[in-house]
Amino acid sequence: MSVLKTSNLKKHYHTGAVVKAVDGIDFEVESGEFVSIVGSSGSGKSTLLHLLGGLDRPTDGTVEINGNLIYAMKDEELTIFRRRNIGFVFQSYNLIPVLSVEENILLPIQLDGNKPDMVFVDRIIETLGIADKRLSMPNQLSGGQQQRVAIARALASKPMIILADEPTGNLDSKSGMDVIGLLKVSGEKFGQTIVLITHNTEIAQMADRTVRIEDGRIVGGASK
Amino acid sequence: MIFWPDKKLLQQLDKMIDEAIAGTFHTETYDESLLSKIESKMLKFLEQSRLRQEQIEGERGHVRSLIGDISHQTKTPLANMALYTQLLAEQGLTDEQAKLADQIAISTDKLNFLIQALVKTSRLESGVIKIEPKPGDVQVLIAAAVADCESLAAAKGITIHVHHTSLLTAMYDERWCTEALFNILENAVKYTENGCVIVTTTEYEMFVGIDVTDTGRGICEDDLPKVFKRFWRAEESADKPGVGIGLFLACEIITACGGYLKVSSRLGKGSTISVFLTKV
Repeated sequence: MSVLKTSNLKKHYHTGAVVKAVDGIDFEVESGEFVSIVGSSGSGKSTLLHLLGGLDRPTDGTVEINGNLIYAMKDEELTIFRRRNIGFVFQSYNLIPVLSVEENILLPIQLDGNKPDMVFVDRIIETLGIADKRLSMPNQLSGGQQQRVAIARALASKPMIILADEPTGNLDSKSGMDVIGLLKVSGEKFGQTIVLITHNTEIAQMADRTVRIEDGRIVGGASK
Repeated sequence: MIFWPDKKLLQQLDKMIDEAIAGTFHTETYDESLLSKIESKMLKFLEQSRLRQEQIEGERGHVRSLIGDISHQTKTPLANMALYTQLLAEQGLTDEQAKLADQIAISTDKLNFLIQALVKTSRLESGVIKIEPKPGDVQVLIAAAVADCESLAAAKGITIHVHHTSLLTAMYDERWCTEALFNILENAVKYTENGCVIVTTTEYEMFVGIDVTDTGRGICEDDLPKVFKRFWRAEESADKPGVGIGLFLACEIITACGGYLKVSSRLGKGSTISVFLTKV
């Protein structure tokens, strides 16, 4: 069953000349799959991720998440849909500095007015090796640890899909390996669908499947 | 249209769904109210899901016994085929006949290996085999797998170098991870014509990495994501024996231990397959 499906997805910018950042992308992600999108900088991969995550509106084409055409929604609907169904992991960890590790992880669940399933949250925290850091503040952690908290936060609300944009971009190669390894292992453990964007082919090939994009188009590896 | 006085009802429904997720749902009242009706329906629905789950379990049981049957029932005929082919070869055959007998022996071996490997993977997938990772010294795991692979390497004139490091402890299942690492080493030896296989360990914050590096033919970039897929073999390796199940099995085992595998390679220079196990 496909969780994510794009059809003829386009994003063109009109800044003097027309820049075709995303230029007709069709691809699908199956439930539970770990897919990487690899491309050099300027290939349009970040624009694509923003479109997949409902953070931007396309010039043309559709994005379907679990059967919902997300760009047919009004802004407010889309915001709520995104909060409930999509987890994000960014290059800059985007943790709230005045909240502890545990508070950061629970925040998206509480924002939605839900009581967190603490048994599940504990398993995530355990898996990501941050059990002894629950009460620490983000600035007391290393970059790799902060990114692990961001992954835990994304997993905790059991989203349909996790979108990770260069999650190792700010990390040395060793911590980067730890972070990607944990993303892979926890995706496996919790049956989580993950789309990872990276320019690093070594990291990309750790996914079940790699899609290569150049100049806003898929140039390889789209099929399963 | 929902009116405000129904907020209590919605809260009640929210509570019911929470209970259903937690598996503690029960009906409290039986009356003519809509809520009571919904409660009964939900109970029915949950009961149906439970039955479906049981059905799946039952079918898994059938698969398990089928695998048991296949592995048991093919044992004797396979052993006989091997035995009679050997006897046939001792009958003073002509060169042409000896060649044919040889082909039968090779195919029998291959079939035997294939059935063994398939039975193993099916057992893993259907949960007949329980992988039980326990904390253990990584050097012990490496030593065991290297010892199993040494004669194979020696026969090809390839040495396996192990770079020892400080004590590293990781979660692994001794019997099965030895097999997984052996498969990786065997693969490295198989595709290396001259040179060596090097085993090194790296300590990460969350994982212990075991790198198996060879100086073999390498894997082209497009093929890298396929390396751990079942029955996948590079087109260029048609000249080598094998069915493409060793690395798949290794991947299944390591994943079951909570770890993962990674491959990097340069065509013509060699490949590195890395095993990552959860550090203790």
